[in-house]
Amino acid sequence: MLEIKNICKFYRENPLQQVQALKNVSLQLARGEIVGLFGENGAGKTTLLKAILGYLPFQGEILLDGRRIDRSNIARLSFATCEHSFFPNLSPGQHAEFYQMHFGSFRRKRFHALMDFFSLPMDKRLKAYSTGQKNQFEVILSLCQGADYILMDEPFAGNDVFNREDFYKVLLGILEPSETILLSTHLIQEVEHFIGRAVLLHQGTILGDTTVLALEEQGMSLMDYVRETYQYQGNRVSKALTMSKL
Amino acid sequence: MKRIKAWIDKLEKCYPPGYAYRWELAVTTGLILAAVCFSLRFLARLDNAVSGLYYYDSTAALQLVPNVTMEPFHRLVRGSWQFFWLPALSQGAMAVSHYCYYYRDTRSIYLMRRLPQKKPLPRSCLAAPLLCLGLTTLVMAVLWLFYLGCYFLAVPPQCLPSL
Repeated sequence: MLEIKNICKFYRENPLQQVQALKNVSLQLARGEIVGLFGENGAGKTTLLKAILGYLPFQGEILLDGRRIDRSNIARLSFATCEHSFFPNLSPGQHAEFYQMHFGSFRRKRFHALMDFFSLPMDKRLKAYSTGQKNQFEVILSLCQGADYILMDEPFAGNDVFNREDFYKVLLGILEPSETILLSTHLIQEVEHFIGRAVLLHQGTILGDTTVLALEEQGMSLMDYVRETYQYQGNRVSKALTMSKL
Repeated sequence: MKRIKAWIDKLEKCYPPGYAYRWELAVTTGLILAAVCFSLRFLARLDNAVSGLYYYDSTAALQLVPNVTMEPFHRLVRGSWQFFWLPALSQGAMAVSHYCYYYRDTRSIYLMRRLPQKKPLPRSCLAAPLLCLGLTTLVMAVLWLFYLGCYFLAVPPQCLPSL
């Protein structure tokens, strides 16, 4: 289990002012869950993911099966980001060798299968890939590292809808019951049938945390839940336009 | 030639993955060679100083100036190292360049910071600059020994300065 306990993160905007990006965020992720992390821009999604991976200092505690995350267990976490974390001058084949060397549990078979499925060239430098191909490769690397917890930060930005659909289906097909995904995305309606749980972040706090099953029992879609939780006023734009005309 | 190429290929492990290390090696080698070329002016200074130990007598024979003492080696060799600061200091810039590489185009720093091993990230940034710094120091040491050898070969024993 990945336990996130009372995480606070401050950013200094200027010497006199600091902004709190995360406010006492607590969350538990059990093995095998597929969790969607939603929130508006600036809600703290990326900050939360980076804090889990140890890229940022923070206050609070993050435990993986009861232990702090350090070099002895960091390989149990993988990360796919829209910023891309691969080496642009290496080919996928060279990346596979790198991962094999550093991550003992690298899944070579899965790697080749996914590369074949998405028809990504093995010997071409990643610099020469298209944006969509780069995104695909980034996700493939995170899935093949052999990690138990796969964190994804808007990994499909720039991919066409069919590509994304394919990926969700492939993920559901290849993921093992013990593999956990924490997916940060804005594509709420698309991932509704892929995720099992939705966590809503708003201005650094968790506003909502529900399972898709619970929503189905209530006869509510994920989009409706998000609108209700954020108290989104769908008519505010038309109201504002009407007021401005008056 | 094949051996040199194989040795250069091995050096790839000292750099960040995919880094254009051959270009950097070429620059460092060029800087060291340029520093060596400038340093070889010592031989001209030595020749000049040794020439000052002799004179032509009335019969046009080359004679040693009586009671003359040669300029001390440490004074003569001073100034032979002034261009070696270039390859040495450039290694600092190279180390920074290696680290910045992980932020160029992508954020491969995220991958490097997730590695279970502690050494790959610092090694990829510092190994090559430290090696090149060591090579620069070695070249300077070899040159210093060579110059010392030339000094003792060229200067008559009776003209050597007292310690």
